[in-house]
Amino acid sequence: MKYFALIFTLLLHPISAVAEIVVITHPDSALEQLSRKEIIDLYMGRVKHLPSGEKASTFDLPMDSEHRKRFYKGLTGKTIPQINAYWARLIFSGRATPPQSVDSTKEVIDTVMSNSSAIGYIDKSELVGTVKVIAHVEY
Amino acid sequence: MLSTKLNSKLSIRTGISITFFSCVFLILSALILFQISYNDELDEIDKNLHQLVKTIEHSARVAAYLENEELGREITNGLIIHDQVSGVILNSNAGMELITGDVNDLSGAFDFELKDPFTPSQAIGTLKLFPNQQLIETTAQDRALSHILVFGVNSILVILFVIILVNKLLAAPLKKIAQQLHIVKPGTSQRITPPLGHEHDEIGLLVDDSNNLLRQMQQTLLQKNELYDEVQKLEQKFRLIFDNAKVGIALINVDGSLVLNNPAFSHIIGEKKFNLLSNEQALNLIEVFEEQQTFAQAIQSALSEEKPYSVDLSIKNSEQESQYLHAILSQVIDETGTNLLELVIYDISERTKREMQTKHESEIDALTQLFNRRGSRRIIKSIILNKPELSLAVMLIDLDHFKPINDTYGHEAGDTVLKEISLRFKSTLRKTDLLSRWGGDEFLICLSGTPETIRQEARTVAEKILGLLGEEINLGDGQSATVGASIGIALSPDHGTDLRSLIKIADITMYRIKNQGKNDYLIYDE
Repeated sequence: MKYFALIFTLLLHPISAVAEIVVITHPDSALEQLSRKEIIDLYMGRVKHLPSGEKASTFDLPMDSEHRKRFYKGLTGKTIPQINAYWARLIFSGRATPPQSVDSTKEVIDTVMSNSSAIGYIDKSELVGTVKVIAHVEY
Repeated sequence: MLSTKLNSKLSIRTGISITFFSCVFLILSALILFQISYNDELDEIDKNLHQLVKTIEHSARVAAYLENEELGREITNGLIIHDQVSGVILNSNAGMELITGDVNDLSGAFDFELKDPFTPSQAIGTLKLFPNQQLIETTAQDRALSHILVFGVNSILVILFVIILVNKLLAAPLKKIAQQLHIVKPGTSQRITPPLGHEHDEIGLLVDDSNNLLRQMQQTLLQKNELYDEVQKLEQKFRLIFDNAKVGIALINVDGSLVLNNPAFSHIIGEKKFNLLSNEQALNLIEVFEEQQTFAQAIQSALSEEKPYSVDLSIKNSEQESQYLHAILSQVIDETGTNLLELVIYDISERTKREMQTKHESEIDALTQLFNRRGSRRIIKSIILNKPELSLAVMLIDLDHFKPINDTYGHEAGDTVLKEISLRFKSTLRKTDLLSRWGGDEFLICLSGTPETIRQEARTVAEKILGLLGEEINLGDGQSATVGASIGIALSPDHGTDLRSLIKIADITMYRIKNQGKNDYLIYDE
């Protein structure tokens, strides 16, 4: 955890040159920061609600996206096919649903901007000032 | 009989032994096999179950991660299908617990820790599996049984093979040898042939050694037979000598009892003496001989002097006549070291009798049957020698007027007179008195008595004699004659103690009577 804290401090620094994915949400959201575990639980369907009690909506980049690949790899250490297999296993249980896929980074930003409980991820280089960064995922 | 017994015994005993040890071995190995099979089975099931868990591990982890009961059920229901699994419990740390099947028997149960699928360092639940113990045991038993079955069949085949092998390699050849040996007559040239293929092994060796024994036995028997024949011949010869000997030969014990004797011996001793005895009773020779003491002493002498000892003995035959025997006793020691005596006897009765006859004839006067001078001298001498306490009266009698009878009527008439006078003398004498014809017409009478009475007795006898001569003697043919007598008497011990001097004195006295007028008697000192 100490390690994570250090990494986050570094990541939050504006001149940081390390390539990373940032997890974003609506600027008005009460959510200020999410731990790695919290992000995994949200994205892997274990947790459906935000700490505030709001129902959470998670969004994925397209299946062939390099950022999506890096996001999951950095987050869970798994490849996209592995993640797909994970969801495939759960598809009939009905209880868990995978994050909704959108077509582009822009769409992610738009969705986040339009939905206060939405959570998405984009490459740090494409970050715009309007969204709130709540976590960094290094890859 | 013998051969089949031997055969069946050997193979059956081998079979029983092998079967027994095989059974023991089989039971032990069954126990061990069962344990091994059981453990193998457990290991395998363990391995199977681990593999099984591996295949659903991911799903289980996800189910535990998501607390997803549907997925969890899918997993537990999937696992329970497996017939080695009797029960499953899927737990998540957050509180989900899914139970399927029978989860009461904890003995073989094992746990798998379920890791967080995304943070593998973190445990999020457990999967507990309950193996189907009954199935495991049944399977293990089946497996062990099939092992044992295979092993048992294998063992039975080995036993059968060993029995057949023992029978073929050992029992059958031994049976053959035994059969051959059974009909071999010891001492003949019959031999055993080794069974085919066994010439150079231990069975062949057994046959060779048996044959050697048979050969040696044959040789020994042959030698023994030859020796026996020789002994037989020799014994026949000895027996011939022994049986046909005219002398009696016997072996006796030192107590005189008879051990062995030849026919001549029993003939001499008298068959009847043997017939009186019962079968086991031995004749004791000491009781047989008249001279029992002499014979007993002879035995002791023969034993102590270590050289043949001769003795003359006599026995009474069935007619109570004396039979005279010459016996030679010598000591022999038999092979056991026992002291025995060899007794050789021969009948000397005839010789003895002849000797006695000759002796008798030489001492008896043929005409009067009285002792002659020789006989009377011997008797008187023996009396003087043997009974010196007795007093003797020696009466020398010379007939008067005898010569004219001889001259007138012839010698036969003289002989008649002498015979008649002899008879008359005899009639007046006691049996103990000695009457003998001393010479042509001379007679001698010897009386014995005490010194006090002898003189009177002599007087009485002399007077009686003179009286007897007074009667006429019938000479036959109507003729008769009368003779007188001149009697000279010497007395012992008064007139001498030896025969010679007594006769001389009697003679002198008798001549004194003849010169004085004849037909009278005179005692020397009167």
